[in-house]
Amino acid sequence: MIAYNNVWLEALSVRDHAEGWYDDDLITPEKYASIKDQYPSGFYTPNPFVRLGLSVFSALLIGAAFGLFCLILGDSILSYDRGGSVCFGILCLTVLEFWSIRKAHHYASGIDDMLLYFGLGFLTLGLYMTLSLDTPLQGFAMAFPILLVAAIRYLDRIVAAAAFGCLIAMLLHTLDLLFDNQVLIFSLSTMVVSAGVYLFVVQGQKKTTWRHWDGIMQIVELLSLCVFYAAGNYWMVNEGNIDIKVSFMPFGVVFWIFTMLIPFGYIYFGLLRNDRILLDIGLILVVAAVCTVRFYFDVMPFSWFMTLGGIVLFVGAYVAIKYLKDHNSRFAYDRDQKISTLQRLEERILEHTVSSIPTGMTPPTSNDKMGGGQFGGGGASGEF
Amino acid sequence: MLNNLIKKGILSPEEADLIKQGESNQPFSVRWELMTLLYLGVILLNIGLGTLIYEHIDTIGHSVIIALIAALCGACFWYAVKHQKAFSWAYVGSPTPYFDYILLLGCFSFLILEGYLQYQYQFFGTRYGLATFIPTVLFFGLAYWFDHRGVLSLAIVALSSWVGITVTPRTLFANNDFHSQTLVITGVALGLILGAAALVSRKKDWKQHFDFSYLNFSIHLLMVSSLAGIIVLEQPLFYFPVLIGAAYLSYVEARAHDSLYFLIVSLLYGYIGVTYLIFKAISANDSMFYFLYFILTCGLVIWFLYNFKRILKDTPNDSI
Repeated sequence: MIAYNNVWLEALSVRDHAEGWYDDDLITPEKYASIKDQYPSGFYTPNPFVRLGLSVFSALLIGAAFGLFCLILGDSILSYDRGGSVCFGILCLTVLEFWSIRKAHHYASGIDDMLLYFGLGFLTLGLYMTLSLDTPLQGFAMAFPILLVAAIRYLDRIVAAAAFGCLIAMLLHTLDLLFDNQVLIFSLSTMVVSAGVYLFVVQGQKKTTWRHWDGIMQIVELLSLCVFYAAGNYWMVNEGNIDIKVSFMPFGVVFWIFTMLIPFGYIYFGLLRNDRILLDIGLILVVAAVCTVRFYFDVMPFSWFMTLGGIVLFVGAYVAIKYLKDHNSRFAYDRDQKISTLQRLEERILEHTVSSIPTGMTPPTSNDKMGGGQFGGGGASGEF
Repeated sequence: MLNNLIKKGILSPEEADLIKQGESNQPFSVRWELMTLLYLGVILLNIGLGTLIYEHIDTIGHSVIIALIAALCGACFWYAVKHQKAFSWAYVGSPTPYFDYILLLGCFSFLILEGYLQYQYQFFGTRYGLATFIPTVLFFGLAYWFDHRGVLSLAIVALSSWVGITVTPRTLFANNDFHSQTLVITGVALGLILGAAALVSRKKDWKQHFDFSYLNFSIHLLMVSSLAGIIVLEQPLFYFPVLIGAAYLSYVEARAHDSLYFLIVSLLYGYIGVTYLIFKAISANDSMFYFLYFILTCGLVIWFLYNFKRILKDTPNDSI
């Protein structure tokens, strides 16, 4: 079912676990070394930066190859809108399957990623044009099974996310056909479907036989939590669909309660069950809930809101850290937590995006070169 | 998985039990979440206070607000001084978990304060240089004194504004007028100086761990400036060697210090420069040429990236 070598995938996951045990001092260094010896993996998985480089240049190469392909087959039966794209997509997927994975043993190398994305992109868009599908619903219905199979076979998170997006889009378009402008039905059905998907992937992650799909199921879990909230969020329901233009929200109070309570519910259950996905999504959705309230009620001016929000966040985190340092609890503020390369990368990105946020003192006049507008940085003393 | 390991004879059942117990007793770490909240708190506070003053300028309330910000700034620096560890040229960890964030908040509020003084009272008159020079000196001092890489980045940005460039990555292209010869030259010079600073901090062992911040700014500045020189100023004879030199430097860096990040960065910038020059020199009207060019060159780069471990012996391990 999975295109990649199963034994090596298993070896990767054992090594990964062993590294965790080693970091937590549960096994000796000798034991760790012997586990690594016994579980060799022959995949070509480069460092994240090399992966990025390979992705960029593979994308350029595939794009240019498609250009050449179209140029040669210009007006023939295989022009890009008459099956050419489909053929090119299949070509990409064939190269992925038979060269990249089976022969060169790539796994998350950047090259296999790009072959997969471009292959699927050309295939689905090509089919859409070739079959002259004319409604979005038909398009999504055609793409969904392809993306689903690809996500399962190539263990790819982005494809899994796209497949989930397709599913939700299919649902919304079907509902639109069946029930015209029925806000409640839209909202409830989306909630039911995303809750169903959530339960399915959570149960799926408990199955040991499905362990290689844990990564893609986590992504779907995360997305289904977001969609579940969005389906009941007051702003989304009220404004989300411009066609609907509801002047009166049926059961408005129910949606307000949902908007306000769900994020805290996520946080509560996240902490209760040590579920990081629930916890983090809950924290992010608190922001969404606050923004929803601010959209409808002019609670306080922006500046005061930011200032007070900043104080609340800072003091809250300060108190929590202090408490965790002084007390023994189920939770830890553990300074030596292992940070993966990806998380370090994330910190770096955060640092760079935040560094462009103006401090609010943008220069009032053009000849005033002062003003802290361009200052930024931060990221504290994270190791990089 | 544990059962498999026992079956293979790698782990004894007792060890497996130990691992099982250890895993279930492991506390749930909320460190990353709390750190993010602290950081967001600092940023929001900073944006909020900045707009607050701006909105309340010329009203009675603004003196109260400015006093509050001054007090906040003072309190942050006081906290930093009070909790600081003994100074050392080597790496000194944060004394408390909030230390880094409080110092950062102090620096931000200092900028707001300074901006306000200039706006309201023309504190620095028309000597705008002084207005960016003061934070530059202050932040460099604080960065070294308290061993804070975030403040060091702030200091480098302030230094760049002082010499006339804004170098935050996202505004790099938008805010700068690369038509100006002086600006491009300044960029190259600053890039060289920052690169030298990285070398000095390594050689002299003055805060060796600051080298990445210096080098990162240096390489990007050198590369972007020389690309601007080639493309906008159309002086490839001078700037192309600079670009190649910078690419070579980061290549040396990549080899010497296990830094694949710099290898990829130099490859990307170098590819843009070379491609631009070739297209300009040939200016073919045939799209076939361009497609073939990209297929061939990208293939070459991929081949290099794919085999670089074999091509350059004793090169970087799998690290950043």
